[in-house]
Amino acid sequence: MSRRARVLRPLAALAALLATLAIGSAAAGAQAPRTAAERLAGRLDAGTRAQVLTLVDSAGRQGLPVEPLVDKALEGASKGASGARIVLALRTLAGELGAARVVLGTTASEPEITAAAGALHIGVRGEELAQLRRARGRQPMTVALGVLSDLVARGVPADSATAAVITLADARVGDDELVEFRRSVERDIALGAPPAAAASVRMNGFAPNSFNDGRSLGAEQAGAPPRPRRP
Amino acid sequence: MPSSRRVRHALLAAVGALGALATAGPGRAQGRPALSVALDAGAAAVRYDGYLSSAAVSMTPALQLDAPLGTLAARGTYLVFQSGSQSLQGLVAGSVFTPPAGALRGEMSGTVGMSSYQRTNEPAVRYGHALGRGRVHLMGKDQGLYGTGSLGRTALSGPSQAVVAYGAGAWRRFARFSVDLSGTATRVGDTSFVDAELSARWAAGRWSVDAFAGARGLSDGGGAGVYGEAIGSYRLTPQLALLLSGGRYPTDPTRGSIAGRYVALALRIARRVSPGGELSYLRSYRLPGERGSAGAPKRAAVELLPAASGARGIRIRLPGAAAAELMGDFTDWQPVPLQSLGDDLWELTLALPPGSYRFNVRADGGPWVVPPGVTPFADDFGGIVALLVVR
Repeated sequence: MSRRARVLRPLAALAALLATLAIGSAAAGAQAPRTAAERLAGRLDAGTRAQVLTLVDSAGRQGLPVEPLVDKALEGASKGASGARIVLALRTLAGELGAARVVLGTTASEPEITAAAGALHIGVRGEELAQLRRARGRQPMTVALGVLSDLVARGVPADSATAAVITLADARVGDDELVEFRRSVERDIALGAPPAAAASVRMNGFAPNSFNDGRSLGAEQAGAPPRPRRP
Repeated sequence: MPSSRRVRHALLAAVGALGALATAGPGRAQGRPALSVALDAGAAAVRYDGYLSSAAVSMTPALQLDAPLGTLAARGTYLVFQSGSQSLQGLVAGSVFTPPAGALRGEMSGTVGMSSYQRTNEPAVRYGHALGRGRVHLMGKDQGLYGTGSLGRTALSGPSQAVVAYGAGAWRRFARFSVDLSGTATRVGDTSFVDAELSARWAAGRWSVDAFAGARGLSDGGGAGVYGEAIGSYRLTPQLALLLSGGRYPTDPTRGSIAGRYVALALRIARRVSPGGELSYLRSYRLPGERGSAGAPKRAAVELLPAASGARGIRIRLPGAAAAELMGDFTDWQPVPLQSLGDDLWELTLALPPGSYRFNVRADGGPWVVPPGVTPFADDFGGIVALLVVR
């Protein structure tokens, strides 16, 4: 064996070892997603588990997101809910996921369908979601739907909350401003404002300009346009 | 003390008070203020009563700080007229609301302003005012009444004069439309007048229109007649808007401006600066008056922070907790202990792709709850759950 070969052979062996280790660790790190059956194993009684898997399979065949269904079943199990109650909750959720996909269309992402199903669950109507879809255009809807659900859960009537978010979406308000809008409404509600009025007031402040309209301070507030005044 | 010095002292005192209102008090403690900044650049054609028409270009930087209980706004305007004359104006205004007492809310506000008008080869005309205002609101769901009283001083290159104003108004809000009707009696030195004003606002999509109409009467030195303005706004992008305004405004002896007609076009660049710069949909704040659920961790708050390798850290403040756990969609609804960071902070780091997730927390083996400050949703199993949206 030449001197060069004696030097190169251990290096090649070392490189092969490192490559093997790298591939192995990458494979270990990229865990394959666990199936619904694997996730539910040991968490539900046999009868409930069978019904849940049937619902999950059915949803999967319809092209609906199945993770929210498994999550819901696991939540029920951890909270000690009965099997019947878990199955009922899953049936309801499956229906809402299906309705959400019909409204949002087949191009909607799984997070969007899940968020839309949550909005339907708390009283937002399908036609209102469709309006929001149109208003958002190609922009992702997950945050908008989260803000909408939050407002409704805070007590803003679903139609008022939807109208507010749609108006903001029409005005091309971004996710950051939607979140800021939600925070402002929550502050006002906490300070005693009726939820519907809080949403309406803040919507008027956010939609047309980046500033409030200045009603409380008169036309002198920063939001007013400059007048060519002179003394 | 010379009157100009008194006005200057009043201005400084008012600025100090407004600064204190913005940076202290319950608003600061109960939530993070949000800052908005804007710059308007535009051109106008204007005709002041008794003067020839003139064109002007203007530059108006502005900022506004919104805190839970109040607002602080500042604006400056630099105008250059066709004749070469220049006007420089600055104004600071603040407003603070009291907590509600039934349907009643109190509002205290203050305004300080200064301006300077410089004609070519002539001494500058300087002016300043400081006003404090109290207002009581009777607030309904979509309508309200208010009564207002104002006191202050104003000076226009001479002795300062007292300003007293009082009035009342009513407003009603519809889905995309709101109206406000008010009447105000004003006395500035030996000048007095009464204004009746109707304002309306309409907003839909990228458009909004504000319109004002008024009539001045019972005037002693303040002029009389009708006036009105309209301001249209079209939002080009979230940060860019086009403003078209025009109309006639009356003489304002409080602020030292003379009546005029104008039409103006301006481009507004504005940005709302989100505090903290966090990635989270949830942010750390505690709502005033919040009690939390029985057994809930006291004064808890949730933050979502970036972590190494694209992971996210969920950070929760749990004062007094000896142990803390979290379970949610991202833990397969298995309790996971949170790691103590000291100073009542607890954290869990994990990979969270964009999406919406549900979760609960508990302290010291207590009940599973929603952290105070986070909206509770019914969980379909007789309890409540929090929603976390990850972008």
